[in-house]
Amino acid sequence: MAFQNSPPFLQFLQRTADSPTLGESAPAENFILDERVPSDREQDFLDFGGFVPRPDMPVTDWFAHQKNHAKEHVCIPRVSQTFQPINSTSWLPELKPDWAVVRIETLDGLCDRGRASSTSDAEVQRLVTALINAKNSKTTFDPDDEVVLSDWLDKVNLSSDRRPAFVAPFVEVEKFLDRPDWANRLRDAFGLGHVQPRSGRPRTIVLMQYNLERVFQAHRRSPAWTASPTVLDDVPTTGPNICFFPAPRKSSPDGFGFTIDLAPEGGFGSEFLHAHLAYRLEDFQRIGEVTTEVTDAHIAATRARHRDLLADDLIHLKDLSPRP
Amino acid sequence: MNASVAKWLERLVAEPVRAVDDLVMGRVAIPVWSRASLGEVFLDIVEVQAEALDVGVAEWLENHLGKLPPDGFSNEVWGAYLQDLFRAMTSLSLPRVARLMGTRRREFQAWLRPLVREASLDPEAAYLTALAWCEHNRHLEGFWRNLALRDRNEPEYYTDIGLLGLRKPRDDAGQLPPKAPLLLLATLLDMADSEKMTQPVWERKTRTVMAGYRPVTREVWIREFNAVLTERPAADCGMSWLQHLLAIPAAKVETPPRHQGSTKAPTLDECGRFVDTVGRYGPSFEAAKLEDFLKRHRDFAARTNNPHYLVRTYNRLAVAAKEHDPDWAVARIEEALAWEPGNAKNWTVLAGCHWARRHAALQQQRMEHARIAESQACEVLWEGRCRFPYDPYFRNSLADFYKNVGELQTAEDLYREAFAAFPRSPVPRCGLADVKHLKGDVVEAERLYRETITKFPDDAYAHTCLAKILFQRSRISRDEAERDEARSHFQTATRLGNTWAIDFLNNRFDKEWQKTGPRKSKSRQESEAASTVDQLLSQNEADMGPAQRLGRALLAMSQAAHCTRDEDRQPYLDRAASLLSLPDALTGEFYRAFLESRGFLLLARGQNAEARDYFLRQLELAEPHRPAGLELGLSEARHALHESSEPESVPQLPAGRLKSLLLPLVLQVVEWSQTHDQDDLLRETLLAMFPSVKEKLAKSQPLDEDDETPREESPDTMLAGFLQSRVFQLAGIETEDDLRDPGKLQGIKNALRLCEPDLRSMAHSLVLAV
Repeated sequence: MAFQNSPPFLQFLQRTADSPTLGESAPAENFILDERVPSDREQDFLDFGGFVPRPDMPVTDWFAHQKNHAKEHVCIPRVSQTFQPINSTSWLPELKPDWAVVRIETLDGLCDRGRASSTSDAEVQRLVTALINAKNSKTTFDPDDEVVLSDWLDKVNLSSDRRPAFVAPFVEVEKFLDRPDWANRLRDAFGLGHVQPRSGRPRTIVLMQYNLERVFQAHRRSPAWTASPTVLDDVPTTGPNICFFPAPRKSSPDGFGFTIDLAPEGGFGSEFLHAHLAYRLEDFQRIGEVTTEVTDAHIAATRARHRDLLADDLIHLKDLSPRP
Repeated sequence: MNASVAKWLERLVAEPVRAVDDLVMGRVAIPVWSRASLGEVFLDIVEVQAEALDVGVAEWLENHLGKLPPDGFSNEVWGAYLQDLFRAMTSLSLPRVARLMGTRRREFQAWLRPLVREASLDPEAAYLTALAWCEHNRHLEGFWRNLALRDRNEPEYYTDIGLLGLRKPRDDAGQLPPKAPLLLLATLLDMADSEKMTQPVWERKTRTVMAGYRPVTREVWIREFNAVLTERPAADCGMSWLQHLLAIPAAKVETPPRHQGSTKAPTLDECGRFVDTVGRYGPSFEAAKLEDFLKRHRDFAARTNNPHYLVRTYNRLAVAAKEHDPDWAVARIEEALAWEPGNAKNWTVLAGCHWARRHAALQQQRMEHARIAESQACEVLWEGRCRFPYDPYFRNSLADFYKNVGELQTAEDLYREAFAAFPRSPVPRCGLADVKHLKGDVVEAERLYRETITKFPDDAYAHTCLAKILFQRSRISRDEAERDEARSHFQTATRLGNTWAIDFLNNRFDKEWQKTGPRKSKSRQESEAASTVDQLLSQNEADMGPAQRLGRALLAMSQAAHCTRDEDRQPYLDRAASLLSLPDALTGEFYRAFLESRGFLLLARGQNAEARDYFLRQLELAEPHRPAGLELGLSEARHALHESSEPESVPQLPAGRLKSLLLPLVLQVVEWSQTHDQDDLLRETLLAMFPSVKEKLAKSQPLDEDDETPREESPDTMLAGFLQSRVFQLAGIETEDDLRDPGKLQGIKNALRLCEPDLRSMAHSLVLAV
């Protein structure tokens, strides 16, 4: 279901989906269209923390509720709700653990988790660059650099919460990596609209690449370790992600989600979630800079294009007001 | 700039606290930040509105510090939000926030501690990391050292936070040190000799530290470490692991003798002079010289990693300064506490400094400040009681506090408890007698003073107090025999050195006795004096801090244990239940002790099955740790349910928090004394325990005046003193041969039965100690 079982909340979502503000309308649209959220999980969300949805409630109440719910059920528990039986219909049991997958991290985000290290952000950037250069040139990474970077990465891993990680199959993005603007292109391909230059300065990102076998080994005793992303797996900081769009079952029978590719020529790529994984130094594949901005208007247009592509398969599309 | 960001920034300037609140709680719609961490968001904000962010976050923290999570928030979610916030502000320049975090460190830690779950959800660690990075972290070196060494059994990753703090100590101008501070190197060496460290882990941590100071060469490191090694000739693993790490030939590690003048350690004479000057004129007199003197202490402690002189001197300075400048005194004693939180004296001095603060505030008519200072003094004393239940001095200080503020019933309860726990000390007996006297029960007071004199004939205070009672009575009744007895006790007190007795006997005794007519008795005078004390102290539970609530709950449970009738016991247990009902998020550092005490309360109520299930559940939640209190509670519950009577059922109390060798044996002895078929085991255990009891007793003996060796106060000395007075002495046990005498075993069992309630409440206090 997609919250059709709760008329007050559905009415609220429908009203909000008509909002002229993208930050409000896009998440509401996603909640109405996401058919992959199991009924029990949907009910758990609605019952959580004394939430009483009303058609006329402020949007920020919903955002705060979702943040609390995600913190409690997605980030904190040793086994995130994403991989608990309540979400079993979204699991990807057929996925083989021999895939190489990739994921983008902002360097700021990693450094935010590695603050217990005394290494400065600039030094981390230098060390990661040196590591990748050494790997590419098949030279030795300075042992002192290695010990500092390993220590920093340990701290990053230690303070990471248990939220599931969004990843994409390496084979689908390999084609972008030869481009000089690979960082901008990957940001677009993964639909990471929040990764933008800061005050005109480029935003540094790193490309992490690893084999799913490691995730499988780390979580083989858990009920599941991969899943299709739903709106309830998002852990928002300031409102839900507007660059997410739920993938209909009909379009994606194997269960993958679809990224919103922000590039003009983009379609959509596959994405899915896996359980928490501690990074290793060898996972760092690339370091680069995102230099281009993404406007809300551009995201809105891309979302509209994405929705049009999937329109026939979105079973709850009728619950949204017709587009003018 | 993105429109939603611009709009929120406008709000931040207009209403900083509300804007920050909305941001932290996720009550905003800013798509460009939706997937960013709060840290990334803060980086964006400080570029344009750093000052407004600083104001908003500082006020937001002040509003929430020490409070429960907002409605609808679980402790876990609230902890996660706070962790995000502290991480986000780490390494940013937010001066107001930095000052707040630096000046209220213990409050922050107490607030965050109950929210800690594991490494990935540890808001306290996030706070400490932020504090280590911030510009207002001066004079916390001792704290960081203890954290790195994990003195209080903190999780392993706290070592790194401690090292981070040692790497980032700011000077008074807020500047970082240009090279590796000596205390950092000293702490690394001491870490090597800690039981908690392995060589590979140590080498990795040390290499990481060294790599952070590149391009310092190996030769320079050898020289720097040598300077530290000279101060710690006993470094064992530290020396050999360092040799291995730096590939130093053994001959190149120099270990010249200590103290060759290089440490510039202040001399005892200097200390005495400064303490005297501060006591006479306050710390602002010769402030520059005093600051230099303080700095030399810090340097010495940093170089040698030996804070003994710093703590002792700062302690004395705080006492000397507290009437002149109580805030300065608090700052000094807090610094001493950061070095040695396990030093009970630091806590009593801190309480005294807060009390002086109260006095100063009252004089300036700042009633709210006075109220806060008084409650801080009170809470510090309760906290000390919970931390050092084995320290008789502290236990009496707390009772003295209540006696001095005129809360005589609380004082009496505390003295009674200390009286039972420290049968070899005259102080609680005299305290109890004082309270009786203040309450007007002169007969009981006199009886207690006489009893004290019988047991402790050299206690000058008891002689003086008894003499005062006899003197006052004889002066009114004109009973010369009683007057002579009073004189005789004053003479004894004089011989024992009591200065008040010397003065009174020599100058006033005869003159005062000649005066006829009714006079106010001393006790009434004191009563009236006490009642005129501005009683800001509130007995309202809602105003009590966690330490006070826990301490009072334990006191109530101990009182209940002495009641023979259910109807007498019930009010005490209800009181304990009410005190222990504090929400977990407000229990501060005593979170674990509250959890454990709630189980002991079930036991005290006789709800043994519920208690067993409770302890089992809590043990499961605490895994992989096995807290001593939970183990003990489970063992007691099972024993009460007769679930296991095997000798193996002795609670295997983990060492960690509980530094006592005797307690598990004592508990076993108590259990076996209640049966008839374990006499051999009982005798065997008593024989095994007896030498330790004697040894501990010797360590806790009062010292000669010339002896500077500190008297040991520990759970074991407390138990040894208790066993000697309440068990062995009563049963006529003097040697091991007495223990082998079958005829004396029954006497031991009887004595144990008589003191069992006291033994159990002692055990509970000891295992709950932070």
